[in-house]
Amino acid sequence: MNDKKIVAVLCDHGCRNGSKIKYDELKTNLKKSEVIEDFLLVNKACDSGVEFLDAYKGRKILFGGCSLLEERGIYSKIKERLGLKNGEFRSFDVKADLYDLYPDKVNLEELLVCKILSMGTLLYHAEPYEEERIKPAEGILVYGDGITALRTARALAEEDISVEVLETGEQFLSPGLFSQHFGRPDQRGLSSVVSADERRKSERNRVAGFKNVRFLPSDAFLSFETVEDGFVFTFKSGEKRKFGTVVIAPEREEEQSRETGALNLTDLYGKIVCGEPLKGEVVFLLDYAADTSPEVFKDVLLAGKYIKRRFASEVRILMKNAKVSVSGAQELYDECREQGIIFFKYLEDLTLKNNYGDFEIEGTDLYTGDKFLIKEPDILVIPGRSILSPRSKNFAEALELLTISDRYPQPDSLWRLPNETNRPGVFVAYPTGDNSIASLLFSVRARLSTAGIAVNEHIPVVDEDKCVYCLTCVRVCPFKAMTTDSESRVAKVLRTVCQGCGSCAAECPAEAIQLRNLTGESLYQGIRALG
Amino acid sequence: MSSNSVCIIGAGISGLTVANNLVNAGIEVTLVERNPYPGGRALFYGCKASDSCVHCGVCLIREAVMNFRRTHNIKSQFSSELTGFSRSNGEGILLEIETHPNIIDWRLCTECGKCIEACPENAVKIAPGWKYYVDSGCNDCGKCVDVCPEGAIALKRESMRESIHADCLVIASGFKPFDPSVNRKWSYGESPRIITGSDLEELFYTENYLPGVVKKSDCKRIAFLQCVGSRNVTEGGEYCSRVCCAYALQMAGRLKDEFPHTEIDFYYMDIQHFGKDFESFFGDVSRKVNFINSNPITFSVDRADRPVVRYESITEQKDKEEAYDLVVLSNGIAPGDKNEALAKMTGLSLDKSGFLYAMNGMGGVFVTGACKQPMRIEDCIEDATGVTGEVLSYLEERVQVK
Ligand SMILES: Cc1cc2nc3c(=O)[nH]c(=O)nc-3n(C[C@H](O)[C@H](O)[C@H](O)COP(=O)(O)OP(=O)(O)OC[C@H]3O[C@@H](n4cnc5c(N)ncnc54)[C@H](O)[C@@H]3O)c2cc1C
Ligand code: SF4
Ligand code: SF4
Ligand code: SF4
Ligand code: SF4
Ligand code: SF4
Repeated sequence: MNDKKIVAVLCDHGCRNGSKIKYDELKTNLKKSEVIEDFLLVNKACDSGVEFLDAYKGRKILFGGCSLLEERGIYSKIKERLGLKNGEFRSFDVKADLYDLYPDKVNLEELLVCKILSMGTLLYHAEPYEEERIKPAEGILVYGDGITALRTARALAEEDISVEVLETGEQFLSPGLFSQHFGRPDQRGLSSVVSADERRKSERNRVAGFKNVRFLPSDAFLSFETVEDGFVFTFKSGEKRKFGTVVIAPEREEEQSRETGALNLTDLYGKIVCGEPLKGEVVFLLDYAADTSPEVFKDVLLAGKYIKRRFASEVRILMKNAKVSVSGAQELYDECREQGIIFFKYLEDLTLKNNYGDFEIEGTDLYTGDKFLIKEPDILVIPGRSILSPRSKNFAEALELLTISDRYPQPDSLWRLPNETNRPGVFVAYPTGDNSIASLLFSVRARLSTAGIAVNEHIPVVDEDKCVYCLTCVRVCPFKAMTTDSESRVAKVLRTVCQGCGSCAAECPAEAIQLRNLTGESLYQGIRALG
Repeated sequence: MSSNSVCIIGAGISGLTVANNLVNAGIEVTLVERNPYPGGRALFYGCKASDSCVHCGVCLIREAVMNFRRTHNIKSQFSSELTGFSRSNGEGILLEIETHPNIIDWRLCTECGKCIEACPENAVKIAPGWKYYVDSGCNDCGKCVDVCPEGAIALKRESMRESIHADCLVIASGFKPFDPSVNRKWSYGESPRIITGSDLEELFYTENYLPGVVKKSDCKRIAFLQCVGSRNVTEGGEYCSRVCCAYALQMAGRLKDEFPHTEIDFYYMDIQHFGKDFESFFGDVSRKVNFINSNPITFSVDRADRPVVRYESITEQKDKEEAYDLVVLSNGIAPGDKNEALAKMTGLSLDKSGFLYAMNGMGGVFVTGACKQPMRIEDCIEDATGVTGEVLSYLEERVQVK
């Protein structure tokens, strides 16, 4: 414990209602407390300079003011001038933290006394600490086999960052982005259609040409463990390697068609790549096995247009909605209609009969209200749901990433940096958007360039003698920051991962966990001080 | 001369994201914003969470504004516009910025709120997460000047012109919501019961959800009309605006929760996918909303002043008419009105719909956000993060060349 007492300072400028405060009353009440040595009132702390605090060198300071003080850097000036460490200074926003939270009826002095006493008591008990930062380990692992993983690896390598690529060993044509697989037929002419596989191979050769890229033997990893500065992978060879950063470029896979005899898009691409003629009547049935996404819709348009031109086939596209919300899709849709591709928007009453590969589709067209019947088309394509490939999914699960359904290794789409996951240091690369690789690069560089990850002020301290190694804390930590340590048989916290939420301390049956600078004792005393 | 300075035009979510990212990377940033506050169009949108968050992204803007406030090393010029652009011989870019200062000097304002009480015209406004400003309703009475304890208010302020130097220019000037009053078809303005999606967003922001004329107790039927100003060259843009299916469905879901007895009809052409958890969201909302796949033919106002929608019912094979208490025109994204001028000044080109065509990095000029194509907030954040990366690479290369 430490006996530096608290000097509480309050900015009493008119702008914050402060002028209504009965200063004397406040001071008398605060002086009763054991932890508050003095109480000062300043007018316009934002303009008055911080020299007046020189008389209080060696004390801890608790400052109540408005948001301008932080905005104008006054708090950092105070800390600097008085040489205050973390754990020796705290501030609160009088308006946001107090007045806005309570209706006018409440007595201002009482509110302030409560706030100052509770925060003051916590500050009184706080241990000063140097801010600790842990730098992520070197080394980046890129997981994935597809073009996105390879492009990511290349982009990093071009920035002089060493990468290791762990391939999945699954080499299939992933659905989506026909334009990526085949180039844009209308821009480059049909003759220059390049298959995805060739493009992947050539990209791989290019990437392999970089000195700072290493390919790990595919499927080589056995297990992995989170440590404070990264992730340790154990490979089949017995080798252990630590990576500070992991990028997962999840391969996506299209579900197989449930109708025997019907193709999914992946099958169709296979046929195109092999140069099989796709003659006769080609029917695409969208929004059937799965709601078609805009990217897939655009792919279908491109494929349809290609087939129509290349083989002069009859192309029909059956759908519920035209998903035109990606760049250029609306134009392409209009173009396809002009070129004689026939679109049906079908109603709920659609039926599909499958007689060993001979199909019959019957439905009502929404535009005309007419019934239509398509009998035995030569080729029926039913795009499937696009899901994470099994190995990508396993990998994401091994890393304990939260996923959205079975499609995205991110808990939701609202992260500050779009490539972040719930695990600090693990990023996701998506093949969407023009800028997705660039934004991933930014996230990775930001991680590499920081002075390190700051350790939370309130990380738990586990009492070795009390811990019974029940692992309750490991289960309850929402951030997966608690781990086991089988040698000492005491729960161990990963300091870079812990957010100081306190769940572990609250749940520990042996009461073995205290949070740094937030002890039960100080809270209790704080409450008692309020009397 | 500092070797790394970046000027950003527009402090919407895109501009703020770039600014916050660059400052974290140690780059000097000047932010030029036309409004007297940061946040852009979406600052006055409302939360659309029903039982749980629907990921509309609006709160991310407030967060970006708060972050920006805490970063005292961004130089910001509000109420300012870019008026001149020239290249200074191998030394980057020279920009001319014109400022028409707001009546309230945001640098001095401490948000005490005295002026808002004093103003008889309700012309003093607060921008969420930011400070007070005065809008065009001000009649120069000067009452606020007298009460401001900070001396932050002055009725007449001189415009200023300033030249600044930058290594890079990032344009994040955003979009303009499509205005349906350009076409009589929509009857916008003819009845207070016909409002746009933008209007409804503002009502959501104030948590009123319905315009004053519509009584909460007897609001029985609401209609949403999709693709207003989009996907139709004669009435707006040819492109799909990409945001309106999302916000309209999210708002419809919220309205149904707020007023369970109200019936909501949703007239649409096609429903677009959005967000990573679209499927579960859509499943939820389709239980709350009746979908009508039709583009209304005409629009009128009946004797009780209720809007009437006439449309072709496909299921029943005939034209039908329905009267509503409220009609929402889901207006889309139109190119910003300054796009042409900006393109001319900086040498960028426009695409055929009028959005800025991005050849990022050419001569140190970058484009991001809704000024280059319709985007939702989360897409803006991703795009702006990527552009930040490109800006950083560009600056590094420049230093190496030197
Ligand atoms: C009705 C409606 C509802 C929407 N609802 C949602 C929603 O719920 N969720 C969602 O994700 N998206 C929604 N959107 C889309 C969202 O508004 C945009 O994605 C977002 O606002 C774009 O941000 P931005 O920063 O690119 O542009 P803006 O928000 O437009 O910001 C651009 C800024 O640049 C400034 N500026 C412009 N020109 C100049 C100049 N010459 N000099 C200086 N400054 C300039 C402007 O004043 C503005 O502050 C909606 C759109 C509409 C039309
Ligand atoms: S919950 Fe408590 S007793 Fe159980 S392992 Fe964690 S620290 Fe030890
Ligand atoms: S304080 Fe919270 S985040 Fe930290 S280890 Fe405990 S439960 Fe996990
Ligand atoms: S619904 Fe929108 S504004 Fe509300 S919490 Fe979710 S993302 Fe934020
Ligand atoms: S009176 Fe002055 S300080 Fe107070 S809110 Fe208005 S402008 Fe800001
Ligand atoms: S997002 Fe929906 S409402 Fe908006 S233009 Fe596209 S299809 Fe129409």
